[in-house]
Amino acid sequence: MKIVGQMVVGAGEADRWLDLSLKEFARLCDDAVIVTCNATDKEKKLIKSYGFWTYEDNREWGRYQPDIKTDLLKKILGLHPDWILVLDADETVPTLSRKSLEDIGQNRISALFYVTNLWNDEQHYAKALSFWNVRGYNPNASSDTQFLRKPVHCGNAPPYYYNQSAKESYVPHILLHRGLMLPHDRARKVERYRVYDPHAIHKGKQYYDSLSSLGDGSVYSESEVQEKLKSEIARL
Amino acid sequence: MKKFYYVKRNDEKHKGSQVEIPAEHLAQTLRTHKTWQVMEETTNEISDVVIPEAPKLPAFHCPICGLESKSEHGLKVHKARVHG
Repeated sequence: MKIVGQMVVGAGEADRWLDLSLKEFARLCDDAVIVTCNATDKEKKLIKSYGFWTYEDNREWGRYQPDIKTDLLKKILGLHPDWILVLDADETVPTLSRKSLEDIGQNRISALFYVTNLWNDEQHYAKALSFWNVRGYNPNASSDTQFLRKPVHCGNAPPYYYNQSAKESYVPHILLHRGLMLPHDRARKVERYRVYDPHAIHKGKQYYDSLSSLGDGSVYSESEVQEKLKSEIARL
Repeated sequence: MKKFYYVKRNDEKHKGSQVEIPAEHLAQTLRTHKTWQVMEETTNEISDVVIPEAPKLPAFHCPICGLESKSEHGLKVHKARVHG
């Protein structure tokens, strides 16, 4: 089975967790295609050190996100993958092995991972910001390569892959997102979406409010996250 | 269908044996072997031999820019130099 990684990298990621995410591709995938979007030489150099395919697409991320991702998918298809693993530059999948990824790929059209957001440190997780999202798919299951035409939050795969049943697509693996862990990163994200989604049309207002403040009792420990995942899977 | 001519080889070497000469070669054959004699015209329902094309080697195709490389090594070099 040929597994190819899919990632979009912006500026500043090399100073954050890009290396961790690229290590995941090296561990789990046969190859990867990474598009840099207004990234610096630091990001390009780090990607190059892993030997992955990379190219630039410097269209404005907040306006042309679906076009950037659609073009990326079309390039990935040139490698004839059996399965695509999608990670952002600040995401890892620590419980996932190559073998379990192949098992997932052989039995599912898409795979939704339980996305959990590290909060303030590596031991805690934001309760309100855990959700299921596509991070893997079989690109041969559909001829559609067009991502949802929303300027932001257009997804990680074409809409077809989001329309599989929960039972058939949810996988018992946590995806760790570090991009909101630090307060200044959360503030930057709020500011970015104030520009690109000022009326909270493309994602609910509750999400943006959560970025600023979660309130009391809103943070899990790791063991609570695992329990939460188990209960989510059991509900299917 | 191909046209052939039966030709009798009236020379010392071949002592009257007959051969089948394709129509397109007859004129040249008779110019070369002046003693050979056309016996009869015939057609054989032999379909033209089709020589299959040599199998195309799989292309090594760059997914980023579309470059076609002749080899996997060439594609790896291209990847490292241009897209890595």
